[in-house]
Amino acid sequence: MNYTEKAISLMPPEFARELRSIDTSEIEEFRIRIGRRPAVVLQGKERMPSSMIVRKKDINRIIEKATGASYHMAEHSINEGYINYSGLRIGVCGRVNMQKDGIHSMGKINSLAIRIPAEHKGICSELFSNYFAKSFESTLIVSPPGGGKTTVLREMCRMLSAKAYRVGVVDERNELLADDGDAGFDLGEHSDVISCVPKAFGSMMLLRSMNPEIIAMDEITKAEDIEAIAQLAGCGVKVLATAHASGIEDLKTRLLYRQLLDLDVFKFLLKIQGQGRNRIYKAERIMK
Amino acid sequence: MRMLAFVLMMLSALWFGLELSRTQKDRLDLLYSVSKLTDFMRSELSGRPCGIDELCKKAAETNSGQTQRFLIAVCNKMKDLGDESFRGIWSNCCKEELQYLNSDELGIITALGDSLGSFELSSQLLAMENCSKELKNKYQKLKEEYPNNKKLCIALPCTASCMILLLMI
Repeated sequence: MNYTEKAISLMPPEFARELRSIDTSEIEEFRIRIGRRPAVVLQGKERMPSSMIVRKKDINRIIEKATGASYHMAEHSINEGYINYSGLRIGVCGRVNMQKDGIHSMGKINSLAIRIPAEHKGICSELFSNYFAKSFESTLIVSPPGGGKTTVLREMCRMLSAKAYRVGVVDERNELLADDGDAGFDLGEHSDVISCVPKAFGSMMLLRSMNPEIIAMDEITKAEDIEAIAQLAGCGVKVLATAHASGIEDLKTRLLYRQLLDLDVFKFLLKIQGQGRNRIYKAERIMK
Repeated sequence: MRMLAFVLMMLSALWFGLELSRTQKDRLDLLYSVSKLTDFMRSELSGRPCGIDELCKKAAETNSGQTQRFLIAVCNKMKDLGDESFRGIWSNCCKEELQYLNSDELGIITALGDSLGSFELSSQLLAMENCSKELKNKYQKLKEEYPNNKKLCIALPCTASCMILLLMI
């Protein structure tokens, strides 16, 4: 079963029946919102191919199936805003119950975003051979949300691994490997993947146990991620990571990323521009 | 001829009585086993949380008889999750597999399925604790009644067959 079929198996039955009669190969995401028509994302734009209205029970059914009727096992990730189901990342939105030291729980889930992971081998091979074929330096991949950072990160891991680098991959949301007890996506023969663990923890675990030359991680969003990156760099490990931004100026407007840039760990910025098949990949050296 | 009829009547009455008593014993054993199951699930979930399907698989390995069949049925039907809700799966498996229990006892274990897997861990543990307590109460009560019930199960049919014999004479 491919990822799109897995996602369709989660959909409300009426919608799933309608989806089976159309071409679903280009779908990037499914958006399910209570009281609204279900939407699919094609080329970055939402479309509504069905007239059915999503009910609360449809959302509950998806959550129950995605968590294997074991809500307690997904509670932590739901509080982080997602559920992982067999390599699919399901973003969740609802009512958050806060407590003093952070999120206590998320209830009354009212919308879901089911993202279909994609593997596009060779998308940045030209860029790779121009910039990283001889030696690799720490690189930050940036694009706006939904720009394809995870796909490029996966491809970079595979290509670096093909150059015989030992790549340690911290796959917090199981999006990079996206496995379901099988081999998952191809991250290369020299890659070691630790999944479902926060990036800061996972990178230290890899550092201690797997002797990596490069550590790859998706979406730097927390101060502890930056601390971990500083430690990795201090130990002589190169870092390959992603962040939400359109470029260096964008990064500099945010305190967290200014701190990251001040560390002077990342030497290259890999920018993804455009949507769908029109994506352009550019690399530039980061000037201090 | 009458003697033979009497002997046959007595034997069948005795068999009926023993069978009735055995059914009660099976119900007693099943109640005990199911209450132990909720204890096991509770301790497993509080010690090392795992998914409900994994929990049922583990529990099936340490159980036998109807309890084991019930757990295996839940595991098998978990594959249809989505087409059927977990609550429905649990409830149907209770009805289909835990046949020795009466409706009251079945209600207790069925109600556990309403909270199992759907809420945060502490709520589930509490639901299991309550379920176990209720089942243990039922078990204790039945255990106390069992010796008298057993005697009654044997004595009543035998007395009835003696009375029939007297009427025949």
